[in-house]
Amino acid sequence: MRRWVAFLAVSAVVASPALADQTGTKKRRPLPPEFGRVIINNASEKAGLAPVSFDHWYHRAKYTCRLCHVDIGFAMKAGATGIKAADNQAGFYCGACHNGKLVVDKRKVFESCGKALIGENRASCLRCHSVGKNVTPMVDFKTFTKDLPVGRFGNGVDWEKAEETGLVKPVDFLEGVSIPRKSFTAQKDFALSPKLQGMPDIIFSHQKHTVWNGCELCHPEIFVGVKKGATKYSMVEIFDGKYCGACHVTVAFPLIDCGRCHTRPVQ
Amino acid sequence: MAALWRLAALVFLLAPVASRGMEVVPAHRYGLVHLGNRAAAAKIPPVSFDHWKHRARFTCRLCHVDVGFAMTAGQTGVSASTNHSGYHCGACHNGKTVLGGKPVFASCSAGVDVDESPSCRRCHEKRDPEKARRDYEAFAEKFPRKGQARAVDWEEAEAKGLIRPIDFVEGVSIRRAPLKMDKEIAIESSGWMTDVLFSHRKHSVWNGCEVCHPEIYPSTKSGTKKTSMIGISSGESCGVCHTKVAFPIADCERCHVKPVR
Amino acid sequence: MVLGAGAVFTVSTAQAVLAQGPAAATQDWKKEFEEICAKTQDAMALPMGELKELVSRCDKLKPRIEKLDESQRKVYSRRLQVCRDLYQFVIESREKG
Repeated sequence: MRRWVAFLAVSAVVASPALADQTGTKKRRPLPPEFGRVIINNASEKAGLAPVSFDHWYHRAKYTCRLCHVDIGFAMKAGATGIKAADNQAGFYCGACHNGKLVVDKRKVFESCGKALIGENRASCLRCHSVGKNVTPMVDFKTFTKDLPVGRFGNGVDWEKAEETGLVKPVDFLEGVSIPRKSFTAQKDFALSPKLQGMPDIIFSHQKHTVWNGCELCHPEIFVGVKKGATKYSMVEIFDGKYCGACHVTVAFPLIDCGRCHTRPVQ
Repeated sequence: MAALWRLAALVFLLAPVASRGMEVVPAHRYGLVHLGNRAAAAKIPPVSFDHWKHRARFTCRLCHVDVGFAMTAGQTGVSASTNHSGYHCGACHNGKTVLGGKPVFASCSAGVDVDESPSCRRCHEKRDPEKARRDYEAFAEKFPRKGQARAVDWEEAEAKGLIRPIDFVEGVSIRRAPLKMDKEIAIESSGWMTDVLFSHRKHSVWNGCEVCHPEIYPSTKSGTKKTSMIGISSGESCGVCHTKVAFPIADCERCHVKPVR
Repeated sequence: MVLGAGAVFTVSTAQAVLAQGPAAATQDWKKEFEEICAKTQDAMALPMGELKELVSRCDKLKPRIEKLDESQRKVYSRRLQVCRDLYQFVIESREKG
């Protein structure tokens, strides 16, 4: 009996390359409105609701990364924050803005997980708890991004240029949540040299990043090494979501646009 | 006797794995992809997509990176809705984009009855194998042919200027300064076969960088990705393309080029 | 005479603080948090002494935040952590640089 089991196990291992079809192949690229989509399902299904499907593009056009990820306190990985309806009701996380009172663009921001809404009419929950449900978002992606500068991959929008030209004005301060402070000391840009010969140097711009992120978002959690070159970043790690990949895989312009960072011709 | 049965069972198990990449597919059928995820539910014939028609005119990069098609049938999630929104096939097949001097026919207009529409049937039609073979032969006549299946030698066709694959479509692609990567990589083959000399230059003509890096080859360090012919013939590494669309691995000498040691 | 006046002043201040009740005390932590973490934007320009003091104040505030209700605790302990770690990061970069 044992010999047959062993035989089957060996055959399975040897035959497993057949299953390799799905790994290490070119996967579909997310469509522009889908890029930056985060599925949050810590407690939703347990509460009998569909998981939340959060698309970054609309929020990132209106707010800096820092506001949500530092001031409001969202983690940078799906499910890591541990948001509960109670937190939202108490005015934290989504509830920091989605409280039915805050006015943005002359409209009241709809309430999330409102006590009066739950139990009574779960249809309003579908607005966010929409995975697998056919929910039409209130703001249409194509209409919203129509006049924004075109970007390569990702959302198909060059958010950097959009901010530079004033087409989007991301808000960096939320009353009652953000700490009032004066504007800050700019850090220098510096060059990074790739290990692979032939690839152009990367010019890392602190200024371009701090516009959206401030300091705390990256330091020290994402970038521990301080002195330039003190930490070596490999592309394998970066593609895997470390260092630059913490943002530039899922939300900021994706890494397959090599020329976007590797911009200086090698001397 | 029991050992013999077991051996037979093992061979039986392994045969489909090992031979898939090694079979000689007729040239006109090589690169054929059936797209039928949603078609069945919508009760329309699946699309039989022949790669050769598009690869004569466009680079692999344009469709698989700029437009964003996956390299496994059924993975992309193409639907009438995505096409109509200007994604996937609809990135060019929108009735407006001009290629080859005329607007490309629109795919999947909204609210169209497939049965009534001859334009839907341009793609959603049961494949006529004989017609497909004739079309291919008519096309391939003027091109250099190579390999056991006598398929079009795309590499030579491009090198000779017989085809000029387009790598940029306005509204779909964004221009970037091209990255020069001409490095040739020697891949040691285990066993009796000669080593392989991988040419970046020949591949980047069709693929740029992004088709292969990082999804197929995450590391740029030579020697980190080890694979085997069994792996390749199952669609790993080189096999992602060279068992389905690019020249098949059954033509060993195209890669194992050096004289036998 | 001066001492007496000082004593009266101290007692009356203490009474005033205590008279505000628990509500004032609970908002003190928030004020402290805002004071400490308002300077993260300028961390790179702060003198070493001040950075170390800020880190120490963060450490002192941490147990007070741990006592808050669940939602506040979750949010503010993370915010405090991020803020403290940034100051520490700048300290270490200077020490190693």
